[in-house]
Parts: sequence; C-alpha cells; structure tokens
Amino acid sequence: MDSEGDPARASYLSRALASEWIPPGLFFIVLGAAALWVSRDYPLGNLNRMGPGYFPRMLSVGMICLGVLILRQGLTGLAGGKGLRAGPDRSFWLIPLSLAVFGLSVEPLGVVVALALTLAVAGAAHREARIKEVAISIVTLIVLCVLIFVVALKLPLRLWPGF
Amino acid sequence: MDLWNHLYLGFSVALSPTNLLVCLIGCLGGTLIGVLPGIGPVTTIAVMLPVTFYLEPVSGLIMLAGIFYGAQYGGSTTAILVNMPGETSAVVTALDGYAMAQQGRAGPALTTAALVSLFAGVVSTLVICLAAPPLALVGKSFGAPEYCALMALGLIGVVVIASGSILKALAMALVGLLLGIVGIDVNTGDGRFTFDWPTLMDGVDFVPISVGIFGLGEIIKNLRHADHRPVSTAKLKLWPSAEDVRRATPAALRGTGLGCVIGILPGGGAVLSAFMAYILEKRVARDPSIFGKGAIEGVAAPESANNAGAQTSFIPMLTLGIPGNAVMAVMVAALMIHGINPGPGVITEKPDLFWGLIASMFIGNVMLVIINLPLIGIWVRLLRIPYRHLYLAIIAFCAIGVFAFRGNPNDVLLAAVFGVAGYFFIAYGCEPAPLLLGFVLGPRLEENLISAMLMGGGSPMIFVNRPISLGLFLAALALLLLVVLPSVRRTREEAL
Repeated sequence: MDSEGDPARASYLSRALASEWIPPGLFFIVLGAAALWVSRDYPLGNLNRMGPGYFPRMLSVGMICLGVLILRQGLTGLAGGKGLRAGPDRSFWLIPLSLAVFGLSVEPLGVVVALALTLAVAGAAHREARIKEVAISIVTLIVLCVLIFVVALKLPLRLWPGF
Repeated sequence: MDLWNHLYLGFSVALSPTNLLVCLIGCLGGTLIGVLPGIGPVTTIAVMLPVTFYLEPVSGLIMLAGIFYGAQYGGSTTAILVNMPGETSAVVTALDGYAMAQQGRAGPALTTAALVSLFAGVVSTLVICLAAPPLALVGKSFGAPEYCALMALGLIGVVVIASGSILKALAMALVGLLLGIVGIDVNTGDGRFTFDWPTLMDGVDFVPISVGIFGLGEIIKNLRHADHRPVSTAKLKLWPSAEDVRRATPAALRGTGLGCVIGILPGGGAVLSAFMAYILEKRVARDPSIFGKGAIEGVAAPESANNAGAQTSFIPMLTLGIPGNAVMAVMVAALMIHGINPGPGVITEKPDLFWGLIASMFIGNVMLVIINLPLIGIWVRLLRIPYRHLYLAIIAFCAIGVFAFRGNPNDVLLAAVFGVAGYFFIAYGCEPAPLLLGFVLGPRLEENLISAMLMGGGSPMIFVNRPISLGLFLAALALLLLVVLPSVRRTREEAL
C-alpha cells in the first residue's frame, strides 16, 4: 500500500487498495504462508504427541484458509470499498517512526535527548503543527516525564548521553 | 459466614495506606483517560505495568483495576458534555446524555450517570463475591480438554462481538495465537519464530503489542480528523428532579442486572453491556421515540450496565484465567508478570490478593463518585487541551512505558512495527481485540491442546466424550451459528 503505481494501472490498483477485503485477505494469506515456511523445520510429531511444529502449522493453514475466504469476498465484489480511502498521510509514517527513533536513541543518548527527538518527529505529524508550540510541548513533557518516571516512581532510566 | 471473613480479610488488605493510595491513583488515572479521547484502558494499563513492578502484586492489580472501572466513569462525562465518548463503552450514553446536555440538563445527566455507576459497581462487586468461589471450584475439576474448550469459547465470544466481518476477526485471533507462541518452546527448549533475534527469545511481549496496536493505531486514526471540541462553560446544576429519579431507577436496575450477566459471558464486558442495556430500554419503553432526544433512561441504563459489565468481567479472568475481553487479557498478562498463574487456584492460594482486589472495588467506586461529581469542572477543563498537545503526551508516556518495561529498547521498535500494523487493521476493519486475546491465550491453548491429545491417545474424540468440554464446544459453535443467522446479524450490526 506504499506504492502509488503508475497512472495507467492506478485505477485498478487503487480500487483494490480501497477494497475492505482484498488487502486484509492478502495480508492473512501472506502471513500464514510465511509462518508455514518459517516453521517448516519444526518437528511436527503426531496427534498423540504433538511436536513444536504442530500448533503453528494448524494456525498457519487456518490463517491461509480465512485469508482466501476474505479475499474472495473482495473479488466477487460482494462488498464496497471503505478501506484506506485517502492514502496513508504523513502521520501514518511519522507516528511509528517517532517511536522507532526513541528505541534507537534511548540507549546511546539517554532519555532526555531521545524524548526530544521522538517528540519532534511526532510533532511534525499534526497537520497544524507549529514549531514554537511543539517546542514548548517538548520541554514541558520532558520535565513532566522526568518528574513522574524518574523522581516519583524511581524507574532506573539514564537521563543523559554517555556513561 | 465465610463471606464476611473473606470480606474482612479483603478490607484489611485494601484499607492499608499504600493500597488506598494506589486505588486512588488508579481511579484518578482511569477517570483521566476516560475523559480524554484517544487513549483507552488497554494502552494505559500496558504503559502503567512497569510501575506496578515496584509494588506488591495486590497493589499493582488494585491500581490497574481502578484504571479500568475508572475509565467507565470518566467516559460518560465527555459523552454527556461534548458528545464525544472518551471510551467506546460510553458511545450509547452520548445519544441521550448529550441531548440532555443540549436541553440544559447536563448536571442531572452527569449525576445520574455517576450514581447509577456507583450502584451498579457495588451490586456487581457483590456478584463477584458470591459467584467467583463456586466457579473456581468448578474450574478446579477441569482438565486439559475442558480448558481447551473454554479458551475456544472465550476466543469465539470475542470474535462474535467484534465489529465488522467475522472472518477477519477470526483471522485476527489466529494472528494473535501465532504471536503468542513466538519464543522458546517450553517443551523442547527450541526457539520458534525468533529469527535468532534475542529480543524475540523471551517471546513478543504484550506491552509493545498493546501499545502499538491500540495506542499508536488510535493516534494515527485521530490525527486524520479535525481537532475541535466545543465545551460548554455554563455552571452546572447537578441534582436530578424527582421525576428523573422515578424514571432512572428501574432503568438502572435493569441495566445493572443485564450488565452483571453479560460481563461474565465470553466476549462480554463494558461495551456490549451498555449497547444491550440501551436496546433493552428501547424495547421495554412505553414510548420508544423519546430515546435519542434526552431520555434519562438512555443514560441510566447503559451507564449502570457498562460499570456492572466491567466489574463482572473480572469473574472468568480471576476464577478460570480466561479473559473475556481485551482489558482482561492485559490483566491476565499483568498477573503472570507478577508470578501469579491465573486460574482457579488464585482464590484459595492467594486469598489476600483476590479479596483485597474485590474490597478495593467497593472503595474505588465510592472514590470515583467523589472524584467525578464535585471535581467535574477540572475534568471539563482538561477537555480543552487540544489534541495536538495531547497526542504528544501519549507518545511520550508510551515510549517510556514500553522501554521501562523490560529495559529493552528493541521493544520500542517492536511497538513501532505494531503501530503500523494497528493502523492497517483499523483502516481495513480488522478488530484488534481478538488478536490481543489470542496472544494471551496462545501458549496456554497449545499446552492444553497437547496434553488433551495425549490424554485422548491422539484422538480428538476426547473433546466430544467429556460432557463439559462437549458442552463448551457446542456453546462456541452455537455462538458462531447465531451470528451467521440473518436476524441476529441485523441486530448485531445495529448494536455495534
């Protein structure tokens, strides 16, 4: 759903993407197939003594079957589209990205810097984001978080970069 | 009587200064997130978990439970005042509650909501006291096949009440089960789906999952919508008239009764209880056309039902270890983190924990009325915080909460991945609740399935030959069939 496609194919692709059924159907099929593939070497055992591969494979097959049923609903045109009507906007990427930034920076840079970076990325996700407001929010929230999590709750968090 | 001794024990635990304080914090936190849209009890409880590490298990549970039922109180405040339900369970309250507010009767609506919630909270907590011990005894006689059947029933229950397509909800439950078994397999000691990544060896944790899917997914969804929230600043006259009391009382009684029953059922909980109570009121009303135009019954019934349902959904979780909804799934995970194995043993082995938690519910409900009514002005003022400030605070708390949980920054990365998935799920009508439930049940379902098949000598007939397991499976099947029937399907679509 990230690729826009070239204009010639766009109508078909965008219709499929807007379908409430086709993308989730494909998603479940792909996930089930991937799980089946990853678990291919886990010993299967038998019904009497199920090995570590039995349950995952049951789930994967079930997921693929359900995915096919869901996909079929979309292909037979049973249901109209009300999926992602307007394609993913920047909040779609920036919000998860902001958390990823925290995950990557908190160990090397400490909580204060990591939070500032995270909130700067997240702040850009709002359509009416204003730099001054976001900056004030960042400072307030860092102070608040340090007070709550470090001063009051005494969680063992490192605040500043380095050792 | 036994009950009094138990309650005495419970109150002696719940009335300790620490536990009173954590109960108050939980209730305040619950009200806060109930009032604020965009953050729900699942995310909050997940983020608060690292904090409960530093508390006794019972104190931790008291706080987390307070967040859950506190959210039921808080959710009604915004539903009535600004037609914006802070929690899904308050969606129906908004219909008549906001209509009352527009007629200048917001005060009586708020008071009614708070008082019927208190009533329902006390009654349903008594129901827990009476129903939980016998149910735990029944649970002790269950073997692996019965537990399999029970978990299947629980999963189907959540699938059936999920909004949108049953197929998708079922597939989501399978995704959850699969996520649940990621990590070291207890029987062989081999890693499964770990991709040799140490973070996945201990399994995917439910904190990144719930924060990612429920927390971040919600934020992305909310950011797409405009940000306006008109709040009336007029002074509120709180007390309902005699006529209001006369009409609200029977509605509250019906709502409480219905909520107590629905809360115990698999898939039940606050949301379903509120919807069903509203539908019931419409059915029994002499003139159903008053609903939606400020009928006080339309506030009293769902508000009592959602609180009753929220409380009694603790029953299957505490006695059988089977969560009936997403919040209870998080509570099960919380129990396990504190080294408590959820199941029928909890009541007898940890009586102080069980009865302390119950007693704290009585105390918490009283606290909530005090928090909600006189302090209503403060909560309303909080509503004026624009979303563009609010979501930054939610992100900050989520980031620190997920990180502090295990001190592993990779968990925060996982949460980000689940955030993308969560938005995808919401956008394509895949309800995330079955996923979370499947995730919590996954390892136990596999374990019980393996021992059940071993007991049956490799024959699935073991599930049919044992009456209780057969009954539970038939119940699950009946639930599924019910939803496929056209008439029921219509009511479901109407209600959800």
